[in-house]
Amino acid sequence: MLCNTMKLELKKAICNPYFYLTLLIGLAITFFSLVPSLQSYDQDLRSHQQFAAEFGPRNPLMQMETLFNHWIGGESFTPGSGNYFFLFPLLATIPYGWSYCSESKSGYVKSMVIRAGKMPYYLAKYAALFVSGGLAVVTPLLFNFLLTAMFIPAVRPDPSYLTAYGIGPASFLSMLFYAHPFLYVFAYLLIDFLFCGLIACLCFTASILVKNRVVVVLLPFFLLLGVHYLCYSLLYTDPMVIYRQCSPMAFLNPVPTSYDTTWPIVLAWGIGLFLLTFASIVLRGRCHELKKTAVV
Amino acid sequence: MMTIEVKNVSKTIRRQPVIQHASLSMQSGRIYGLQGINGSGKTMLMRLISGLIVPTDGWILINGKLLGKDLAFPERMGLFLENPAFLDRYSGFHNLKMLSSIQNRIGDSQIRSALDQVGLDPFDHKHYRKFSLGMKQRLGIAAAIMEAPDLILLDEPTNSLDTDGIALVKKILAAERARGALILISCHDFSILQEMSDEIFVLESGQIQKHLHAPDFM
Amino acid sequence: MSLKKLLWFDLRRGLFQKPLFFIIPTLIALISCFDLYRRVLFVNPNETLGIKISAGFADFLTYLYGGTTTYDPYSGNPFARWMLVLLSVCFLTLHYPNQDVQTYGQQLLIRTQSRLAWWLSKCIWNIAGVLLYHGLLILSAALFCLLVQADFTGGPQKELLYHLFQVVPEQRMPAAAPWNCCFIVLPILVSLALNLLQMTFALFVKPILSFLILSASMVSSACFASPCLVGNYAMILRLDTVTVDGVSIKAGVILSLLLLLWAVIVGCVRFARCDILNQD
Repeated sequence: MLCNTMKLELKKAICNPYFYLTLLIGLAITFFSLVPSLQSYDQDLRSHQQFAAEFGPRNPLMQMETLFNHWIGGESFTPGSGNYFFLFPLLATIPYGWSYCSESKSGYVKSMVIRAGKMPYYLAKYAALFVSGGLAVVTPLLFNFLLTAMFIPAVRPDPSYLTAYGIGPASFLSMLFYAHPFLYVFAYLLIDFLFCGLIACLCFTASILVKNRVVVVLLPFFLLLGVHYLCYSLLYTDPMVIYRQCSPMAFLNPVPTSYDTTWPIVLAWGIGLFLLTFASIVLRGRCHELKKTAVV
Repeated sequence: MMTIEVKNVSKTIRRQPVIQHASLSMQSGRIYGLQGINGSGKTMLMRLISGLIVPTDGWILINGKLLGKDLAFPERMGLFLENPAFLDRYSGFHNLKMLSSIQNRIGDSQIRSALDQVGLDPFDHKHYRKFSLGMKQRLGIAAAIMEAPDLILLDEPTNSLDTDGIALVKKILAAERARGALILISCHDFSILQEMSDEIFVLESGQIQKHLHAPDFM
Repeated sequence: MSLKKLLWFDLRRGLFQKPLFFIIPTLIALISCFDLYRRVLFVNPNETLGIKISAGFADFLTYLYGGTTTYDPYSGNPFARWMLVLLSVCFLTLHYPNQDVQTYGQQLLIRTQSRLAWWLSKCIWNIAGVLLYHGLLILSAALFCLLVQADFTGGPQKELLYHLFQVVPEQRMPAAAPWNCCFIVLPILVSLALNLLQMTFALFVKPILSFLILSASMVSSACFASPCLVGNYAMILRLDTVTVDGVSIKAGVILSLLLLLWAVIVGCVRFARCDILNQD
């Protein structure tokens, strides 16, 4: 029963126009961010050649111009990167975040629950939300990484040039970045997948509180933006202190912005989001009643 | 005296034809029925005549005026479309009062009378969100008839009504016809239309297949 | 007459009965003001040329609408605040018109007998909503100033704000016209234009996509200091009287008014011919 419901929900989540549209928008943003990235790469190469022609051979600084600081997750100077890592909560929720709200409004939930059972339906919904959110955000990132790899060599980053990558010794997963950069990218894509999946699942929690699907889809974005702003305005107040990055909107970018994050913070957010979203699924599964409003 | 002429109207939504070359003419003091299976285009035809959607081809004349050009919506129209929506936190009376305040044609007594006609308690303070499906349906019908409109469009008004409710609808429509209103009612149940209508248009795949007059379908 | 009544319905249902319209701007303003108040405590007087370092009402307002000079992901605070200030109001005005036309609004629409009246009513409602939002931001900032006994009389203090927004000396505009609170009129005007544009886009695409388009244009504005991107005019720090290579205030006013007018007219034409179907 659970397996069939899961299959059905996953199919609904992945094969729907919102998913395709979001994927298209994501792919477009990541595709267009490649252009300035390649331009900067080309400019750097040219200036190096010019220098070499004028002043003789010099250190080619090969490690500074690498795939790992030119793909969308490795740079933070292009508008594409700015747009993507700001709008990603929306890209995670648009594909399927509205589904529970819509289904509960139309009464579809009832017909699913009586056929599949409460828990299998809610678990399947959770899984579908999770997968759709994760895929919608990570697929364009992967696309950009592969596309960039077609133009820029994957030279292993050298810690001597750490300013070129923005990943310092205290940065999250920095050892991995310098030792096994592909693994670093893979690890970050996985972290982004998990978090974007959880962010999409926040829509389910929001659907319990709000009955308006536009609000449900936008709420996680504003929640994260609010947390981001609160972190910067209430936590990071002393310019002389080096803080730890607590905002998911910042630490889900593979290039650390402002402050570095740490495992405990990432884990705490992950566990917190999972508990919040999963608890609402379990509570809904247990307390769901087959009537929507009291009819007297 | 009101006349409606639908001339060769077609409507396409997302490249899907929903109404194809529909032509019909209607006049005051009669009840017209629209019959057809689900998805045959009854609601779309209602929406076209109400001015909520615009024809892709053809035209609709209301008292000789072109709908969508000379006038945006038919004047003095009562409309009831599937799943009526009202404001959750107000009572039935309050909802109707707010609607009637736009044109200011009727007072509280007429609103109460309309509520009474459809079998709702005019003095009930219960919020709309606590209404049953049938009560919501009745309130929708009351909203359509309360201002004594010249044109009444009712889309599946008997849905979710009990037998008493259906009898009430029949009674109301007979009274409105006697008053001189033009009534267009859609229903998938042919027997209900048979009882109430003077003429019936049978729709199939967005096309008017048959036009039956009262003695023919009795 | 029907427009008046329709407008009253819209204001009542789409504004006065929406508590978020009141809560969100108040919270944003109070948090931002508290943020500035705390930051000013850390400012070293030497960095502001010895000028007095207590923020006044005008500074709090400039802080709210300041934006960023150049897009810098490493300075998350000004960018996040600016986005929050401008996007929250877009969120608040996003859903109501769409929801109205698919539900109760249909009954109002056929009774008013005019699609034009419906659209104009929504435009005025939108403008009223945006003005209420910004009015509450300003009012809450004033309330905060009263609480901390900040100065209400002076204009924005250039040096303090340059320092707080981390504007490098090369980008600072050499002393010319003094700054004044009129600066915040332009961001509000841009906000009006953006919200009307969002409402018009929502007639063509789903509201959520309309919001996405707008958000992307705002982020792009933050990334490119281009006079073609309207978001630039909503940042006080990007104005030509504030920073070198800034955008012209005059051009901002003209562009915002043109966009505002365009949104109203295009929306009007579109709504006159659009199908009203119950599609959520």
